[in-house]
Amino acid sequence: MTNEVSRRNFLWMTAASTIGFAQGISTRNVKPIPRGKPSGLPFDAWFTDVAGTAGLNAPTVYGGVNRKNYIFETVGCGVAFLDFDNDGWLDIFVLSGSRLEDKLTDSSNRLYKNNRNGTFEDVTEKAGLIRHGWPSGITVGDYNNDGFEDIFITYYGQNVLYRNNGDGTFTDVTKEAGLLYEGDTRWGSGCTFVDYDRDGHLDLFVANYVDVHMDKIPKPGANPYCNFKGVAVNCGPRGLPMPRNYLYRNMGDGSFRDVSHETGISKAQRTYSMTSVAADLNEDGWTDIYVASDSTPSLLFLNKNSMLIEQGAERGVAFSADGAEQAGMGIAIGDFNLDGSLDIFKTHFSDDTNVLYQNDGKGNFTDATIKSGFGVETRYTCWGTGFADFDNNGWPDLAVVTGAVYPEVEQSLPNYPLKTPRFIFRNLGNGKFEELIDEAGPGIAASHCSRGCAFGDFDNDGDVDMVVINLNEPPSLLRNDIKNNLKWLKVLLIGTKSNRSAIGARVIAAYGDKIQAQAVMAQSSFYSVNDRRLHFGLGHNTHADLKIYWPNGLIEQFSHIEANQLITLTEGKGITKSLLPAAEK
Amino acid sequence: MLRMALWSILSSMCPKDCYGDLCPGNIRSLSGAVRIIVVVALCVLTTVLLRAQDSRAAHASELMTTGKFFEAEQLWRQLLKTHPNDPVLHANLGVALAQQGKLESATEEYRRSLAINPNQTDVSSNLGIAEFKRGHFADTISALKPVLKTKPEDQRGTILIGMSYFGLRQYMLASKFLKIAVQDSPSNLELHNVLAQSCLWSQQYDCALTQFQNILSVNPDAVQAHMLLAQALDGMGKTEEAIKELEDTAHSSPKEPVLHFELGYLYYKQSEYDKASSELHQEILNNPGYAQSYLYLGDIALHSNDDKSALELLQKSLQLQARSRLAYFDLGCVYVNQGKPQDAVKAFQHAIQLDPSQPDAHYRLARVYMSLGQKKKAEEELANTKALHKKTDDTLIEKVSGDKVTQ
Repeated sequence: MTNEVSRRNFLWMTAASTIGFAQGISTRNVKPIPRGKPSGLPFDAWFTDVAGTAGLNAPTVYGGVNRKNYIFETVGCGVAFLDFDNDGWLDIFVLSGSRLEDKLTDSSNRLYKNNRNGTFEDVTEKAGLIRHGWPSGITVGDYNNDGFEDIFITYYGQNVLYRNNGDGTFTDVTKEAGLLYEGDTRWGSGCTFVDYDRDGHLDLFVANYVDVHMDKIPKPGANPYCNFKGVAVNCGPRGLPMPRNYLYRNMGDGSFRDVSHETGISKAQRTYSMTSVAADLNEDGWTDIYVASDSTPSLLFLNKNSMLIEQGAERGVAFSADGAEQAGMGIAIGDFNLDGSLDIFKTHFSDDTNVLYQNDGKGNFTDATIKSGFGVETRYTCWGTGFADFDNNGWPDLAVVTGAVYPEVEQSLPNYPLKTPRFIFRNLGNGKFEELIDEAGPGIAASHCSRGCAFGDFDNDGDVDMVVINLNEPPSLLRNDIKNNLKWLKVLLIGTKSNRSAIGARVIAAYGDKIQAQAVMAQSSFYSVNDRRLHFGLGHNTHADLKIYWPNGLIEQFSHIEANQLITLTEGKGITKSLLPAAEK
Repeated sequence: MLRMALWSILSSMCPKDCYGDLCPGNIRSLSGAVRIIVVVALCVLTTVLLRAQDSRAAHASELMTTGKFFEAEQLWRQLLKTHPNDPVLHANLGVALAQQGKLESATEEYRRSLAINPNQTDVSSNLGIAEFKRGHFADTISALKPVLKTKPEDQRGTILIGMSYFGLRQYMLASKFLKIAVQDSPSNLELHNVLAQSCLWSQQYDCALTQFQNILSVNPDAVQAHMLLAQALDGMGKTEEAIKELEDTAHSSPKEPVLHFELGYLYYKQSEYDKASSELHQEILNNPGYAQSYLYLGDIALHSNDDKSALELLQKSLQLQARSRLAYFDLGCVYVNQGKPQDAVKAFQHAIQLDPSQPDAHYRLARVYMSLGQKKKAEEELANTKALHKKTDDTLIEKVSGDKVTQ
């Protein structure tokens, strides 16, 4: 090294490193790349927030409104689309937290039953789901294979497993399932049902975010890492201890056993783990797990005959293209380039791009962020996300919801607002995406402090809608009103030898000259759960062929399936049902 | 270069303050005040020797006061043959040697003197001064800290220790001592300047800003102070104000070396690549040998997908400054884009050699090895990437939470 002191050396050293420090969250301080000329193509999806009229009125309470002194007040929670009563209509489960300074006794998670007319009824109490606390993630799956979707929720505190009784009620079975823990309080974060050992029973992966010890956690502004742009803010995650993650095996009798050590989960590097997704990413027939990690390397557990080997860095999904740690929050899994393989999109903090990893089909990924056009957006802290063909043109688009984490910053720095808009990246079909905000409707352009979001067709009208968590506000229910008559196909899988929810299944739809892969997942976006019915936009194609890769290894093919319908495929039994209630537009 | 710069600052201080043989250059140019200090020290020493009834000591002392240091040296050496354990003789010989520029020998004599009698503040001071002149900043600090313990009011020691920390790039510690020095010499602009830079580089931006504003209130045309003020503003996150400061300075001093680079760099930081390129090209016109202008133009070209231009600019940058990590890193990226993995490997290896602590080059190199099917090498570099991140993360946990990470 030279002994010369150049005045610019100081800044140069900063520039030479691709990582920005001196705040609690890793961001690369990346500026957006210039936007190209707008495509000028019309976008036929249009989102309107109908939450108020639909009856989703309870706010998601989460920490202080103007100030948050502790990190667990900031992260927020997820939301689920699920059909808990098997009536063919999506219900909504909205998580809601607490507040330190004035405890709100009526704050609880909320289950909204779909009234099949565009409105919902709050059935939380009747369903036995009232619960106070600090929930994080939700995963939905039929863990006891009884035909009804069950619910698992992570908490800052004790996680909870709810068994669906099939009569509109749920029972907290955490204790009898063996999922109570002892010792220091854990902060459960991402979670997903996954049948890692292909025994037909859904196991449970539970991530933990940060070890928060209230007696040790520094006060806001106590050091440079409890500071954002000169404003004192709550501390973490950087600088706080990292916990480890857990895998619980479903013993088939309603109980679970901790298999973290024997499967390799506990051997992985500790990270600030967040959203967790189960899908077969290397296409070997075994369901893998990908974990977005905040300010630490994201984790990819490749499943080798029930052994889960962490290979995030080796497979190219742990870091940015320059090897930087990024603030991984949410995950979208989809086939953006229609090559039949599942790609990964991961959301990050502001002043960084989100990342798109392109899969080569064998689980090796290449960072395609810049070439695909995602480098134009670095303004917002991004959370929930998902691939969905919002305009049914046959190319999966992508949505992201956003919101800052420090309400106190906005008071000092108006350029860093707490509430920020959502955005859509529409797929241009040439490997590139184009950002749309106002062009996608008022529901997208509206600013909120959002976190989790879920994608699904709540009004069964043949398009993909969204439900979005907004901190300290009611959720947004973004109804998609498509302006075209392009075709679509929905696919619901029912496992028989595989787990009944078919979590981990991969479906490839072929339509026209295109093929598209999708996966049945029990968590994605940010701590959230999408409609388990896969939705394929087909463009002008009136028929599609399907290839189903069931979690237990069976591969089935179905040809010439007519568009504009929901088909239910039961493993080994073919198409058993072809009905989408009130699907006609 | 650094030592010369510090000497230059210290030279400018000499007329105002007495630093014995602190001032660089020829002893004959010492100010009268400095001479008096030396004479006083020698008189004390001579008195001791006179008590020993050795007239050669008095003669040697006289030779010192008349600037005949070589002759004095010979006499001190003769005396030492008969009094080898006399700390005063070693100390005086040290002074005679130092005044002739024989600094290494001088420090040896000072150390011998102190080994015999450690409680000699003047000798410790002289040792510190000589070590400073040799550029041995850590030794300077070791020598002068005991002096400050005995004489906390010693301005000379305070300044030298501050300067030494500055030389060691320990800017926070430098600022601690220089802040005291500035209080004692408030009109010394050069001292304000060094303190301002220490504050700047230790990210004490408020302090830096105050110091630069002090300098500019006395000398509004101090271009360098404007430039450093801009850096302080930038460091405080006030990049727009920093740009304005530099734009105004560039207007009045368009030919000032490095000014257009600094302005270009700030535009680069703001992703205003067209403006950045314009300023960097202007810097090249003014200052064609400044490597970093080519480097950042190369970086801009790389991120604009203009690999051909990036290659030329980065290579030019390396011709001018071969030890540039960022240039090699960017060059590696260009080679990857051009499908030249072997060249990329060499470039990333070079970047790692220059600074192995940056994870990005390790990661990029790992990805290239993977593309070449060299799995073992790739795994090694990925392990390096992870280890570097983990070290940073764990250090932070220890700092913030006080927890030792065991995993």
